[in-house]
Amino acid sequence: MTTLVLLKKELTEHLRTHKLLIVSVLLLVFGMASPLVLAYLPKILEMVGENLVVQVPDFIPADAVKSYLDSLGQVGLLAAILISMGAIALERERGTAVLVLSKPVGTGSFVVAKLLGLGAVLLAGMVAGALGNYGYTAVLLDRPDVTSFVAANLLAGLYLLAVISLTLFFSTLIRNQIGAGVASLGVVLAGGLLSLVPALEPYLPSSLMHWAYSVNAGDGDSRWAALAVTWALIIVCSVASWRVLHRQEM
Amino acid sequence: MAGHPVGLHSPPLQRCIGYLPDQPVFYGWMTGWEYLTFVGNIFGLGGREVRRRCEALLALVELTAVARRRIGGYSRGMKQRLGIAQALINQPKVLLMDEPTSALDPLGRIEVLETLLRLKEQQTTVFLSTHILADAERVCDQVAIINKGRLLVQASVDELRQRFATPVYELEIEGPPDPLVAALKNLAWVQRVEITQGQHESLLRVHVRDPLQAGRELPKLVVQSGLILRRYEQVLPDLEDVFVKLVGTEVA
Repeated sequence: MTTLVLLKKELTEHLRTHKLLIVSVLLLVFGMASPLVLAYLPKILEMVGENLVVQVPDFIPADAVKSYLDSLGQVGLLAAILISMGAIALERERGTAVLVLSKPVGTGSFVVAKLLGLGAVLLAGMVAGALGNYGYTAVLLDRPDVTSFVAANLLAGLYLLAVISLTLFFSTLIRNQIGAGVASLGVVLAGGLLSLVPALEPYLPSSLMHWAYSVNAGDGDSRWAALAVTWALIIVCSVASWRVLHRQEM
Repeated sequence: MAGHPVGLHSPPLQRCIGYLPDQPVFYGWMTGWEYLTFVGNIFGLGGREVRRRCEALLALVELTAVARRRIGGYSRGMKQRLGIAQALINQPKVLLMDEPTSALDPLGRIEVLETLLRLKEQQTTVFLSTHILADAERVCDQVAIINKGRLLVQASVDELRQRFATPVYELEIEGPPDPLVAALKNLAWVQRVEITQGQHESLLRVHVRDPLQAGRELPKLVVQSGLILRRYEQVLPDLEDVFVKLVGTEVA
């Protein structure tokens, strides 16, 4: 019951503070930009230099989706860290958490509501970006395969949700939103370095992006182990956030 | 407290208490009404009940007129009063307040004290910590004095005055007070003298051990010092006197 009350507050906050709008517009722009750039690239090159001879391949819908997935892995990842790094740290720094947690509110409910609220912002952004990307790709190039498109977006979205839960954990642990953001980004970059080790790569959450690219390209290169590890990471980070918050005095 | 063990994150206890930190911080994007509803919902209140309590509490803390305004635009005094309202939404048996008036301007302080006086008429036990002893004197039935984490005394204000405060005489005199102060300091029945010096006159607060002797001797001493006595009265000692006596003794 209290989780729902807190979730309602989280969603209202994301609406009123324009977090939801900003993330949605950001991903929508990147979703639309990918097919636009590919469709108009020959014309853009023509305008840049008249004597320039560049061989531009014929782009297919999967290229526009791949370009959008690239954006999700960079801009989407940064947005995921930015929206979640202050989620708990800032509430404690400002003092708003003291009042809420002095009520009969479980720290678990507090953390779950935060994660679901941020997940909702991510979902809204992903839906906006996906619609923009699919629509513009269909109009400017051709219709991408719906099943592959949805599967690739779900995999990328799950990876970003794992980044959010990781950042939320650091936001609980560090009490400073910049510190939480830097720590989370550090772990993500370390994960990127670890993925260079072939034996580890199939188990890392970042492999979900690799899987998303494969699905989009029509390959059968799945990463089921990475999927399990990502879910485990989301659960472990949420439980760890709950336990850390439970033991701390405001 | 209220029949429950005290500890971190104890929902049964949290259901029975209300809490106001020294500087309550709210979500600035919410309105006062929304915040109270949010807190009421946390306590499982909904529909008409939460609406009824919000209306009653906003009236109690005199925020009805600004209930639909965003909290980000509230003054400190208004936030403090909203803090009291949110602490009362669950009709707590015990209300804990940490220095509720310390950060307020005089007007805000009066507003909060008046709210506390109205609360006394309801069935809530209010615990408040404060360094402003005049506030404690004005609103508290019982006072506990704590020094360095140790409880020195707990009693009613009147009882504390009777037990610990020394009688005080206030003298307003014209002329330099030094000869009189020097004379007073050598007398056994004088405990200490506080001086507030003005341009032409001075106010002396003489704490005495023997009020009868002081009543007889003080006017004579003023005349012998060649000063003009403007005002002379025995005043009721206040909590500050009690505090100074108790904590001063501890420090010594």
